[in-house]
Parts: sequence; structure tokens; C-alpha cells
Amino acid sequence: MSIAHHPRTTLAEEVRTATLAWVAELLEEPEVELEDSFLELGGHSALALQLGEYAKERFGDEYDLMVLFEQPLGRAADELSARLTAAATAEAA
Amino acid sequence: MTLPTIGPPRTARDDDYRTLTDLFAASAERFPDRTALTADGASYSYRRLDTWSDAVAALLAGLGVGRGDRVALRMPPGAAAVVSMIGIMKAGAAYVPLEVRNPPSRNRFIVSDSGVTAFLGDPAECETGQIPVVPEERITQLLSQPPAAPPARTGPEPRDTAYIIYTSGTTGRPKGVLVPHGAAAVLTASAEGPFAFDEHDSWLLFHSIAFDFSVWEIWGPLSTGARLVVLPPGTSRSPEACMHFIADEGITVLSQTPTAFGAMTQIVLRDQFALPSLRYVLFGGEKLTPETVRPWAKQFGLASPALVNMYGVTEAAVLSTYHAVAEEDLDDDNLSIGVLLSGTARVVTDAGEDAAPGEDGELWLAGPQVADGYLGRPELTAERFPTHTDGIRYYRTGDLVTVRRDGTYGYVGRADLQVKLRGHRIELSDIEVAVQAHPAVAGAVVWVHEFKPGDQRLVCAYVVAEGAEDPGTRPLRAHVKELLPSYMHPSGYAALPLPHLPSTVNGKVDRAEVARIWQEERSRTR
Repeated sequence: MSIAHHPRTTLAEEVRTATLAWVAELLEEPEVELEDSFLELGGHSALALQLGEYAKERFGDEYDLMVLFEQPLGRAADELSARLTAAATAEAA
Repeated sequence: MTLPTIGPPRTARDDDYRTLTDLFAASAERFPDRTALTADGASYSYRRLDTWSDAVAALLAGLGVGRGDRVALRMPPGAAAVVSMIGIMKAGAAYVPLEVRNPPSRNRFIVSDSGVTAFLGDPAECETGQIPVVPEERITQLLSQPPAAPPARTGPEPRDTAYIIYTSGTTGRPKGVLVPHGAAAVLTASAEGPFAFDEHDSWLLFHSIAFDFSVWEIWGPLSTGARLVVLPPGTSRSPEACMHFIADEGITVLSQTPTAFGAMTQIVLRDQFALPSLRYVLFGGEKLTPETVRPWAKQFGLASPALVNMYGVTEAAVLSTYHAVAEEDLDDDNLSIGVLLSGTARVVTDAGEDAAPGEDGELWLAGPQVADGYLGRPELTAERFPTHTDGIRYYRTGDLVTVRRDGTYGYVGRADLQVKLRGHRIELSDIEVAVQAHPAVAGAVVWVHEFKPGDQRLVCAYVVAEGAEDPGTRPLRAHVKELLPSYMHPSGYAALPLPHLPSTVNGKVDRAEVARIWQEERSRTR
């Protein structure tokens, strides 16, 4: 898998950027920031599933729904990239 | 001047159910020389208005108009409009008012749907076809003609339709409400309980004749020998000009929507206006909140004029409940709409049960003020005016009320403005109030938009307050977060390119139009 070759910080940045872009698109909300909460932007479970599909397609895994609904978007993105990195490390080992 | 008092409801009598023309005749007989009407800078006595309206009735009878017919009335507010209304009724017909400013398509629809057989006023683009049209000037000319013989006994009966006023829901085509004479007459008779109106009062005709608040404004004075004063056309748009007119004319009874009253209060407080003649301010047309009356109450108190919160629907002859605003209401979250003027009511929960104290439900009204239904719409009439298992015929208002512990009603909101989103019951107007509390927002409308099947979200459209800068989404979101739980946060905010929210002819926010403009802006910017 190609992402394993990226340094960790770049992957985290990539997930963050993609998350913001997807949320902006799904919610039709141009001004999305990492501090925003998915729920407070109007996100709901059907949209969360959609968001998860985008992540799965691009990165191979989905967001943790608990984190997505209860913490800022930045945290949800970082949680996903941390998991991806851990999986890639385990695979490499 | 009689001090404004607020009394208990009055028990209805059988002879309350009579014709409006009877009420007018009684006033004309008792007070022939008192002023009945002031309009366009002229005043008319009851005797004058009586003979003038006889002439209108005679003219209509000459055109073949009689009992059971319907006559369209499209004139700017003025003496000719009022005398035409009375003349149409004296001829035995019902008047069908058309708002001059309505789009032609709406008036065309009403003319064709109501099946009028004559048209008084300027038909503009109404396509009257073969129907005889009597211009306003012709009505005015009748004033200078020798009195016509009063029409032969073709006048209406209490059960006959007095007027047909069209209302439109949030969706669907307008529907004509058939209101019998008796229903409107019971309204004026019931007012004798709470209110001490008399022949020394001067009532302002503030609202469009196509909005039924005007029925109250016109028949309140004409049934008590008082004076009806017509606000000159165009004045209602300037709160300042209105206040001057009310002061100069010595208006004693003023009917207002809370929105209009709020604007007037600002002017009165700013210019330190005195309105010593004013005895009653009666609120109707939309929900009254304590915030609206607080600035006024602080300056003038609540004794005189008395501020009275009223609730009503076209389908039950204008007004159904009343509550005098008291000191303790000012700190309450929700103002009571009080007790019934006449008739009876049920408050029905989602489960179809009668609501217990403290519970919400839909208000069902029964009694002599309830209208006959919708013209030419038997199915809709059956649905909205059901006869319950108790054998009583009700009008289902679509309004949610609370039965308060003191037995009075509290207004909650429109049932169709209460939505259920992901398990939460949400009152859209609560969100609108929260957004509007932002100083840079002049008005806001919130609704549920379905972006895709299964993707329903709250959206908010707002207009920026005059002189303020558009706060933008982020500050509004932060503002609402302070006030409401997260399930009530709109997912998006869009500023509409308008100075104020579009309104319907009744002065209520035109929600359908707001949604249309929002959609238009959305497709333009995407």
C-alpha cells in the first residue's frame, strides 16, 4: 500500500485536508475548520456513513464514529491517520 | 373616557347569532348622527353610511345580485370599500375581498374559484369576462344621489355567508373560507364580555380587507355605534406615519400584529410620543412574545392602554381567545393566549386524547364562531372540520397549544412548524427566535431541507439588519450554540439579498417565498 511510504506527518496532513474537503462538500458548507464539530455543522449518521465510504475508498479505512460525533473534525482525522499508520507499521513488521 | 377594563367571557345568547346588517341597522337607529366612518379626510354619519350603502345594494340588485350570490371587492382601503362591503351584504350577497397589491395570478384565481357574479372596484388583470364591473368612482357618485329606497326584503339570514376570505397554507392552492353572518356577529357580541367598548371609541382599520383581522376592525365599531377610521393607503408601511395618524385621530382601539407593534413601539419610545386616547391594543395574527411588549410596558405600564393577547383563525371568525397582558407575564417565557371568547374547545394530543394540564396538543375549536368550511372543497372541509364522536363539529386549527395549570391556553406554534428530526421534536420558531436574537440579524426562517433522500438537515435563511454587516456563518453558529442544544443547530446559514423577509398579504412571513429565494441563491453559488 502506497501510504505506508509516506512519512507520518504527511499522512496526517492528507487525512485532515481530505476530511475538511469532504465535510465541506457533503454539508455544502465552505468554511469548515478542524475545530468544528461534525454534529454541530449539521452532520448526521447518513452523512457520516457517506464520509466513511469516502475515507475507505481513499485511505482504506473509516472514521471512528464515536470520535467523529463527539470530538472536533481534526481529532477524527488524526484518529484515522493514527490507526492507518499503526496498521501500516504492523503490516511492515 | 371609560377606563379600559378586561372582564370575564360572556355567555352567548341565541340572539347573538344574527346578521351583520342587523347589527349595523341597530347602530344606525340608535346613533344616526354619530360619525360611523372617517376616511380620506372626510367623515360620514351612521345615517349617511346607511343610505349610501342602501344605494350600493340597490345598484347591485339592479345588476341581478341577490341572496346567496358572491361579489368581488377590489378597492384600496377607503370609504368606498367600506360602504361597498355593507352594500353587498344588504343585497344579500357575500363579499370576496381582493388585496390590491396581490399578484394578478392570485386575484384571478380567487375571482374564478369564488364564482362571483359582480365585481366592485378595479379588476386590473382579473379577467372578469361577462361579469358586470362597477368602478370605485361609480360607488362614490352614489353618495351625492338622493337616497334610494331601501332594498326589498332580500337581505341575508344569519346562516348566510357574509364574506369569503382566502387563506393559503404553506403549500397548496388558496382556499376560500365561508364565514356566515352569525359567526362574525357572535364575535362582536362575545367581545362585550372582556371589553368595555362603546360609541365613544375610535377604531383603526389598519389591516387589508383581504385579511380577516379587518372584519374585527370594521364590525367592532359598526356594531357599537363607534367610529371606524381608515388608515390612508400606504401609511401602514411607515410606523412613524402610523403613530402620528393614531395620535392625530385619537384612536382608542388598535389591533396589531406583534411585528407591527414592535416597530411602532420603537418610534414611540424614540420620539417620546404621547397616546393618551389609546385604551386597548389587541394583538393577533402571530405569536406574541414577552420581549415584544416589555419595552412598551416599561414606559407606559399595562393599565391604559390595556394590552390584550388574542388568538384566532379565519375558520372561526377572526378571534377565539383573549388574555390581558399582566406584569407577571413579562418575565414568563411564554405568554398565555387566555380563555375562549365563545364556544368550546378540545386540545388533542398526538395519541388522539384530550391533553392533560401541562400537556401540548392541537387546538380544536367548536361553537357558533366556527365557519361553514372551504368553498368548493368538500374533502378538505371534512378533514379540517370534523364532527367528533361527541357529536360536536370542530375546526382543527393546526395550532399547538398547552393547557396551562390555571386552565388557560399557551400558544406553542404551528403543528406544521414542529418537526421531528432524528428522534428530536423541534419547534422551528424557537430556532428562528434564537438566530434573530443576534443583533445583526433582522429576520430568520428555519426549515428542514432534504438535500438527498435520507439527508434531511435544518437550514437557516436570514436577512441582515439595516446598517449592520453580515455576520456570516461562523459567528451565527457560535451565537446559536450559546442558546440551543446541538440537535437544534442549523447546518447552514444563508444571508438573503433582501432588506427584510418577504411577507404575505396578512403580514406574516412568506416561508415558501423564503425557501424559493434560498434555493435560487444556492443554485447560483454552487
